[in-house]
Amino acid sequence: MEDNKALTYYERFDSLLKGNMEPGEQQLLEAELNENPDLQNEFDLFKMSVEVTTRSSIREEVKMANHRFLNQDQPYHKIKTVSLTTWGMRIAAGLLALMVCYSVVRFSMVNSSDIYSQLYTEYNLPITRSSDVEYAHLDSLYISGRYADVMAYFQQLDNKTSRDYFLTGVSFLKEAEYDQAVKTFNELKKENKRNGTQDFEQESDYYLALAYLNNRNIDEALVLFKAIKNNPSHIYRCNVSSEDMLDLKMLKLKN
Amino acid sequence: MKVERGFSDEEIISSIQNNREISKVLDFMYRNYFEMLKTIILSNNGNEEDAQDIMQEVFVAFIDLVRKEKYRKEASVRSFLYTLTRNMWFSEARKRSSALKRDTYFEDQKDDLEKDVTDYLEYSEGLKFVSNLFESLGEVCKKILTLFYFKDLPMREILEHVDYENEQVLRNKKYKCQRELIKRIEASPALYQNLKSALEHGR
Repeated sequence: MEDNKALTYYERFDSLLKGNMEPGEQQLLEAELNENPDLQNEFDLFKMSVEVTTRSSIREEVKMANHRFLNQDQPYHKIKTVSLTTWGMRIAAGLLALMVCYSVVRFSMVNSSDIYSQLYTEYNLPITRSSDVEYAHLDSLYISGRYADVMAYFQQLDNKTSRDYFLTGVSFLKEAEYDQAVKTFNELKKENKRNGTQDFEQESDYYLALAYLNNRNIDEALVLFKAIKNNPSHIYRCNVSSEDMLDLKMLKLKN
Repeated sequence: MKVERGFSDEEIISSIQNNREISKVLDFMYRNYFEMLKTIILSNNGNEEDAQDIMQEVFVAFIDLVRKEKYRKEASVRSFLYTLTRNMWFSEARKRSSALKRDTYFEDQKDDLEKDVTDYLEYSEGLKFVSNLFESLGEVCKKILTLFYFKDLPMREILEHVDYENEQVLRNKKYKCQRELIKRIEASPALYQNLKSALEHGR
């Protein structure tokens, strides 16, 4: 194809792919593509070039983010060697004394509300812009933040899915109805057990543990958070730090 | 002290779909999900290097899937990334394992994904190296095509990023760059076939 003509076609292909084309013009181009295999082949190659461009651009963005992340993290990965000289021992003793003081203060101040605030993470449903996605009614209520309505609607449902149980459990948590949250998450776990499924199982571990924490059931909360922290493939593992575990253990001792 | 939630799931999706703050979204995802996802690889016979490689593939796939609206309502971003990582790592591990193990163990480890996502992963496998082809185009061509197709900028805005006197000259240059890229695709039969399959299966 001669260059000027090809350039015009390329610009028409761009308009078609970007959705900027008038309906009449689009029909015309589509008809041309149907009738002319060479043009169709040219269009396929054109789409391939767009695909190569976008994939390469995404890869470049990810590569740069990876680089930023590694460089930012480097200092934390460095292991320093410490020689046990007298001077070093003195510093260690000073640090130990500081740590003891810190632990005493921390023990006296630890409480379930603060730990809950530290550990609480919003559970957001993804919202897409695609027009062909229809949300279930309960999902829509949850997305709109109408948690009381989620709870009421859940009671009316005949066939409850794991997703319904989970979102309702989180809604109870949001509305500070911790007993009900515990009950709902446990029902979801029972359903999973009965059906041999794992739907929202790990999400429920985390939010059930939060519900126990607010329900003054520290023992159960501690068991669950410990299981999450010790499970390398648990999706909420990174949310539970060693400091959180220490706070939870202190809280258990205080209660 | 907690995980910094700079972006909600909704904001992540909307930023990617609208090409806004992609680098910030990626920084956020690395900060918040990398360690969690890395443990999947490390606890399944992978090493640090494997984790770095697979995580890059996971984030590339995630962004591409969101752009193509193949990521819909299936759980949270965190859970979706978790499932993608398991699937991509077990596919990789399967390729490396002995033929004896291949048929059962690693396939059993994979989590269920929607069909269009598994199709995407299958057809993306052969497209890992498209960047090499793109890289060979040269800086100016890469810049023009990236700004036009990835950043979705109009020609008049691209003109501010490159040294061309007017839009028409820029349009001609973009055409030549794209023509060159197409020639290189045609000259690589394996890549051509992979791209064709990817396009035929709705990418």
